[in-house]
Amino acid sequence: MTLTLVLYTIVGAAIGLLMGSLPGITVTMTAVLVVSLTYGWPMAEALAFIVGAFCGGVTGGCISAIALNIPGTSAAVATAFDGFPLKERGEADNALSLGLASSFLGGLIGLAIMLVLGPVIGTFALRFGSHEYFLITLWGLTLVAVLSRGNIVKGLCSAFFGLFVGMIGMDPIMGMLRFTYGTGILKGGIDFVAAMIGLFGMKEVFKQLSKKSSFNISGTSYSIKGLLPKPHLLKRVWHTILWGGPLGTLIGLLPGTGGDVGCIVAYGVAKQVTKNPSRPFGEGAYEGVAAPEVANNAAIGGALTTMMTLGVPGDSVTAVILGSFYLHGLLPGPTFMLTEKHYFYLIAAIVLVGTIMAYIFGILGSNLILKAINLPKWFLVPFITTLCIVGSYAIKNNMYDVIIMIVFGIIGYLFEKGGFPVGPVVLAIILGPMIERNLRQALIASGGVVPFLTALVTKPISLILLILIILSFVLQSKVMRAAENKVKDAKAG
Amino acid sequence: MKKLFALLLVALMLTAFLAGCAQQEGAKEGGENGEAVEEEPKSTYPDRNIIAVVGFSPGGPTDVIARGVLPIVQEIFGVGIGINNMAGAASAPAAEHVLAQKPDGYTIFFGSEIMSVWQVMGTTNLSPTKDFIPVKIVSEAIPVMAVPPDSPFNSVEELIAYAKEHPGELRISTAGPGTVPHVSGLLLQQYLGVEFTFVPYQGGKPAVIAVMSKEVDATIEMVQSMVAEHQGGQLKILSSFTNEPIPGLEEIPPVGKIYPELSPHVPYGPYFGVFVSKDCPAEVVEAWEAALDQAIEDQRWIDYTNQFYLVRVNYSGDAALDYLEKWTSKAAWLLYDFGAAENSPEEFGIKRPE
Repeated sequence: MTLTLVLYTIVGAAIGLLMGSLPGITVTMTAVLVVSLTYGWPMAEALAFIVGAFCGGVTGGCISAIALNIPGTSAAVATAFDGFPLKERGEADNALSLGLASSFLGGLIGLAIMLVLGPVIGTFALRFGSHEYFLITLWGLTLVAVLSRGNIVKGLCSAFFGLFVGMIGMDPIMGMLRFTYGTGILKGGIDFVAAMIGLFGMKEVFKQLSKKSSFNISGTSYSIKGLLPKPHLLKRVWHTILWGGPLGTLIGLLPGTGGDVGCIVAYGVAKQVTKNPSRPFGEGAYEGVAAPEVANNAAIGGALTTMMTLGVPGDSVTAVILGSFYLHGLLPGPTFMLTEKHYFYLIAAIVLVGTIMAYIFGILGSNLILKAINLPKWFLVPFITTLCIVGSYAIKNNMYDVIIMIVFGIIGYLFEKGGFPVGPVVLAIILGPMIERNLRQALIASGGVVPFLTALVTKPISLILLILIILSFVLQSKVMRAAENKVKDAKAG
Repeated sequence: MKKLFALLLVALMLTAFLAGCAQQEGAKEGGENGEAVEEEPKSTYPDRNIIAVVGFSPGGPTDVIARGVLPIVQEIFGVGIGINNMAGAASAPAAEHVLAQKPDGYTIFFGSEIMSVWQVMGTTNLSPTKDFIPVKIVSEAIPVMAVPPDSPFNSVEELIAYAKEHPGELRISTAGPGTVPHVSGLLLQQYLGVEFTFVPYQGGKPAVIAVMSKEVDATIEMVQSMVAEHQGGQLKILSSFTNEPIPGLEEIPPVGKIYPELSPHVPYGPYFGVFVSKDCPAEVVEAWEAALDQAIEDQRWIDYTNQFYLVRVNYSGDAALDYLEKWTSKAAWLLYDFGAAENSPEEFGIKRPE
């Protein structure tokens, strides 16, 4: 690790943080852009730049999720659920300070697991097959209950709409076209990133245009000091961080799932296991900010481990990084760890520097972004619109996604007007296709419904997951009742 | 507030600048090297930067091959060639985008074998030979069949013998319906009289994971995505879909040698090459052909392809049309006969292979 490499990492982290914090520009897009800049560079410099941007981008996602209720990246979807309510309570700096600190700790936990267990744990990810993915993703859907904010029927309506949207396009097993109504635009399906940008970003623009007041909360002042780590907040969530980190790393290790699924699952688990949250989830619980942020950064270490030890991308960002390995003539895989082991340690060092720098830049930079919400509407509305258009175009360099994004902005606006939450829509668009694909793969692979059901209980990991899911339902009801009683007691007392 | 606005603008501009610089640098480099060769041809094409559209995400096989050959062409042309990745929907939106541009040769399509199954799979009604001019097919990849390391099958003969006695029992993971691995499996079904259950995954890598995690009994994928795992003992490659052993991997027996009835139908693998709109002027096609002829002789391209076990080919003009028609008819009819394709190849005038 030379000084030049440290410098490249720092620049990468700064660019990543900026891109990640801009609503509409995801970490994957940042990685694509950064990778395309580095094609001609030597491998080590390119890696420092790319992985630095990866760390920065994931950290940056929480800034706009908390400040604007627009997740900066898909890995920060769940951060908005409690982060924005906190901001509305005037605790924006608390939420951000906690989000950034959790990201930082998550990055370090992921790195530690990568270094200690990395070479061994890689093969563990292979034990997760279609059955296990099916259970994990199906379980993620139960989050609809939290995201419905009280009105479960409307929440379910939103979720069903999202599941329907997820089925549009080519079906994952036979390649048949579904619900495309003969138009070319729907053939490729609805990209969930385009839908997410529309439902969170563009919707906000429409909302602002239809009302007189602007985004800002006057009288709130932000300072760098307010974003420094706050021991009393961290003390409240230390247990969330302790299990959220390893959980995020585990999900990062699984091929194909990264920070986006990691933050959703961590949020769900936080909701289930936190007996006495600081506030009810969805209304500004500190645990609800810490869990997704610690998990999405911890997923970095996991995803990179899978990429290097198995040659399989751990998530969509590492898929792009894997491509740049190929272009530099390196073939990651089991033999890679024997012949090119120095790259493993180089990447670990870059993650360390990148995580630290992302934290420092986060404290300095998000202060500016928080100030930016106090900007007048005439500036903010066009600015966010531009970012939404650029972001949705950049997914595949395709105008179709821009149209889809705008349509979803209108849908999101109408949904909110009718009191239907948009959170479950995004959740269902992300999880729906994964549930369908894994269920159908599992059905074909096990050869029928009965063998599929028996496999659910005979495969060890799937059995553990199944028990956990059933347990979570049982516990949930008790916890809910206990919490309700407590509220009643408090009111009575 | 003004300060912040200025800062944001600067940040945006910097990003744009960085992206822009990469292109310009490439163009400049190309210019310097290009001047030396420029003397013979007196054609004006190309006099500005070219956009090459790839219908897959960065790092996928098609993208990796495009980025292997196009930088060399860039040097020869002396103008920049920017690669634009438009992934999704089996590359159809990318191809439609290329055809929607002015056919002046400044937007080209770096295509792959997926073009051959668009019509029968119902993706889009475009043909690689009728809507495009195949300028040159530069490379082919080699599919191989692999099983988990502790699989009871140690050779392709054992696997086929078992499949003959237990039709439909063996599960084979593929990169998706209509892809080369799927069609390769159908070739075995057609000519060896066996029956498999195909489990489609979201791309080649997930299909390989499925066999490593023993979710399926075997997989068919391109050799370059499994060679590291094969050497690391995480899976066993049983056979390649060729008639001759793969150079550098001689220990893998070619399926055409084992089953002579298959040898007329292999080698069978995906193709990659440069396509332009059928309305492009002949001058453009000639310029590209000449540049690609020179590029595929370049040592960098030879080293690059060797490293990924890619076969270097050179089909252009009538040879390319002939190659593509044969390829398309083989894949289209196999998919249709086994019920995997939506449309009959006859609708599009695709002749049944003899």
